[in-house]
Order: sequence, then structure tokens, then C-alpha cells
Amino acid sequence: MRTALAWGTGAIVFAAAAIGLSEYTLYLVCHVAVIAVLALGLTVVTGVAGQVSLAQAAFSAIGGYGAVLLATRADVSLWLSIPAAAVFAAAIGYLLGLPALRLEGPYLALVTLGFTAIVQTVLIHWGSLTQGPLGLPVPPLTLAGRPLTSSRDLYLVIVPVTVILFVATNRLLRSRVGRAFHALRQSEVAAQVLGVNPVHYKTLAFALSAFLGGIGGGLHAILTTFLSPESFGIIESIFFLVVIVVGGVSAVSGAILGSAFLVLIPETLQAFRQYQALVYGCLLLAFIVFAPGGLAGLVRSARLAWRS
Amino acid sequence: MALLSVRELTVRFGGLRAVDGFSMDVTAGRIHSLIGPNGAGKTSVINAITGLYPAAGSIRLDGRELLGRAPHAIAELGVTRTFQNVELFADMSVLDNVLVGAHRRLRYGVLAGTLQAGPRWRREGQERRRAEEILETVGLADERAREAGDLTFGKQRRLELARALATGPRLLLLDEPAAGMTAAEIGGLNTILLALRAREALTILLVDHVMQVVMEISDTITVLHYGRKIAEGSAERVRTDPEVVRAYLGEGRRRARA
Repeated sequence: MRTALAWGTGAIVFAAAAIGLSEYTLYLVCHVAVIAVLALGLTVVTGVAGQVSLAQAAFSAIGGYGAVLLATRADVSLWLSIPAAAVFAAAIGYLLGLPALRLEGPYLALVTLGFTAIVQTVLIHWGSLTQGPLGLPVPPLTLAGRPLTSSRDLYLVIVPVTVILFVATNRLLRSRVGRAFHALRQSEVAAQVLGVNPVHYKTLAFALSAFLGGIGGGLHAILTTFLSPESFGIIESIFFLVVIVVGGVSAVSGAILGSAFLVLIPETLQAFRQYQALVYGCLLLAFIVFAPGGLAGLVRSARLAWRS
Repeated sequence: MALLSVRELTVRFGGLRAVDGFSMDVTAGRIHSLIGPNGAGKTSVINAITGLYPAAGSIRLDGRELLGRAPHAIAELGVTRTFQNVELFADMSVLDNVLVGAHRRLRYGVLAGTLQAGPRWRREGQERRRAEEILETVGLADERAREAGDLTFGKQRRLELARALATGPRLLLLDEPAAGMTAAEIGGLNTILLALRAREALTILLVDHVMQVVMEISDTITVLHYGRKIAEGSAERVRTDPEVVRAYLGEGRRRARA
């Protein structure tokens, strides 16, 4: 009953926003949603499974470039090419998960960082495929022959897809699979003697993060209509880490709260942009030290305080 | 009949032989204790059985060789354990800790977990009820929603036992289950272990210093000293064995009588 009510309210808010909000506001909502999907992948692999990954920008690039190249070169509809590129990204993610079996903490972070650097270098230098630093224009998503170009049209696609991915991931993390991820993060040795196969679940966590990164990359491509190698670098990978640390690493709500915070604050504060890297660094430190549960953790403790 | 047979087990750390040509049989449905002075190699034996340490020799469960298998594969065969220094999933709820124990009894994957549907998903509800029952057995039913890290030490030990039981083990290895417990808590632990042996026909191999546990509930006791077996038998026989008394420098004897 309560969930039905929540879903009903959500649907009304969703419809009302589509009618009432301006193009620019709807663009921002879409932007928050896309960043949230990308960050959600990192929540799974780093926040829950405990494998530090700085590869999320690379998976986003594979999803975005893959979808656009399939659409322009092989004439596959973007509706199909985005999930197809995400599945491809998941396969790459699985392979990247293999070193995770031997490496931990900072060493694993370095490997994934190197992966991001390699993917970006390939995007820059494989000019015949990616048009290198010139960038790649993204064809519009079409529905029944009509191109979806306004933020209002894209809002009607991106937000429902985001909601579905969040509901699905939330369910998964509460299931046997999610419990295995949580268990591996907290005590690998205990997880093993209870029958959790670390090889299987670590690579699975990387594959899932890459899949979400791939879908997010595809959505990001149709929203920004232009792909350029410079938006898939190491700084962007660190940005996603900041998003989940600010939002809260181990809850799916953290990915939404963090991306809303980090997308909307620079929009409203112009001065922020100039000192972006500095602000990210300070936010990362401040949250790790003072609010390790992130915004999601703060919301939870505020709720508990309100009840008692 | 022996459920577990250990033959000529040797565990090396560099030049040191922590366990040296050790052999032992654990009979099905019994509580078997492994005792010995500090550093005798007891925990090394348990680590070798559960696949955490590489070792030489042979460890067979019902005829199947365990040496060389990964820890999770050994757990699949029905061998699980608790840890001397409690290894709980501290940020998870008490109930979720037990449900990780049910991992090998559930078989569904990503798709069924996401859709919450399919024949394999249906067992999730059954395992949840079973986990609640196990928490009832160890007296933690009221704590099910709390975070495991917030429990008192005695309760954390019981939760670790509950989590191990949730795997549905054939052989349960307990590494110093009574360490740090009060006398009253130890009495409770003994009752639980005896009930488990009676009701679930569980085979238990336990390592402990606490004689209140070892002497009261063991069917068989094996004494380890410097990685070698020096005595084996009932509590009465081991207690009076001259070599055991020497190994403990009399201390074990006094503690045993206390």
C-alpha cells in the first residue's frame, strides 16, 4: 500500500515536471540522472564490493563511443546500440576484474587508472574510427521516425531508464549476490569459508559496474550530442569517486544524492568551476573525515533523530 | 565411521614445521576436541582443513581430498568454521550475516535476484525463515535487525556460530569458541553445541584452551604438542596421560580439575 502510494506520487511528479519545468531545468534533471547511473556502477564495485575502481570514465567512453559507432557505421538503432555497447563494456569490465583477484587497494586503483588512460589514448589516436580530438557528433535518438532532440523528449526516456536501473540494482544488492559483495568487502576470508567464490563475485562486480557505466555513457552521448576524448579522462574517473563518497558509498541513494549535489552546485555557483579540481579534493577529504556515510548517511541519522 | 581423515599433515612456515606429520580421524556425529599448549599448531590444522593454508599430506572428507581445493570449494562440500578473532560482516545486520551463511544453499544469480522471480528465487523466503530459526537457537532472535558490529563480544561469537550453521555444514570447525566468554556464557555455549550434535547429527571439531568446554562436551580429545600428536582418547584418558601432563607442565592438569 505504501509502496503503491510512493510509486503513484512519483508518477505524478514525473508527469508534472515534464509539463511544468523549463527546457533548461529538464536538461539539468537529465544530467543528474545520467551522472547518477554512471556513479551507480561505482557504488556496486567500490562502495559495496570494496574494489576501488578508477575506470568508470573509461566504461562510459566505451558505452558512448560504442553506441554511436554502431549507430553510424553499422546503421543499428541507438535503442539497440546503447545496450549492446553496454554489454560489450561489461565484457571488458569482467576482464579488468581479473587483476582485482591479485591486487588490493591502491594497487588495484592504479591498474584501473592505467586502463582509463589507455582508453583515452586510444580514443585520441585511433582517428579513423573516433575522429580523434575533433570529437564525434551523436545522431539523435528517434521514436517512430521523429528525432528526440529537446530536453523534454530526452527527459521522458532518460528518467524512466534511470529509475528502472536503480530499482533493479537496489534489488540485486539486497539479494544473495549483493550480500556476497558486502561480505567480500568486510571479510574476504569469512566470505570464502561460507562458500562465496571471490573470483566469481569480484569479476561480476566489475562487469556490473561496466554495464552501468556503458548505459550511462550511451545516455550521456544522446544528452550532450557530442563525444570528445577529453571528457573521458582520469579527472572524470575521480569525479565519479567524489560523487559516491559525497553521496554515500554503500547505498544506491548515495549515487543520486551525490550526483545531484555535484551537478547542481557548480550550475548555481559560477566561481566553483574555476577551482573544480580543488573543490573536488576538499569535498572528498571533508566527507571521508567528517561524514563517512556521505549525504545518504546524514539523511539516515537525521531521520533517526527525528523519530526519537 | 570417520567423516574426516587427516593423514601425515605437514604445514610449513619457512623452516618452521607448525604441523608435523599429524594424523587424526574425526567420527561422524561426534564432538572432537583438539587441544595443546599455545603454538602447538591447532589453528594451523583448522586453516589447512578449510583451505586457507597450503599443506602437505592428505585431508579427506568422506573419501574426497580437500587439500588443493579453494576455501569456497571446501565450504561447498559442507565444511565451515568460526574464527578465533571473530570475523563478522560488521556493517551488515545480524540477519544478513546469517543469510550470507545460506549463500551456498541458494543458487540464483543476477537475473533472478534483480527480477525477484524464478524457481530458484523462491527459496530466498525459506532461507530467511530458516535464518530466523537459527537465530532463535543461539538466542539472538531479538537482535536480528541490529548491525553485527554493535553486538557484545559474547553475542558476536554466537552470531558467528549461527552464520556457520546456516551453511548447513556436515563438519563444523570451531576455533576457540569460548575465548573471552564468561563462565555463564560458556555454559550456554555447551548446551547449544550438545543440542546441535543431538538434533542435527552435526560433527564438530573444536580447538580451545577452555577446559570447561573441552572436558565437558568432547567425545574424543586429541592433544597436539609442537605440531605432533602426543595423545588421543576420552577426557579421562587424556587428563591422566603422563606425556600430556608433561607438555602442559602440570598447568593443564590443574586447570582440568578446576
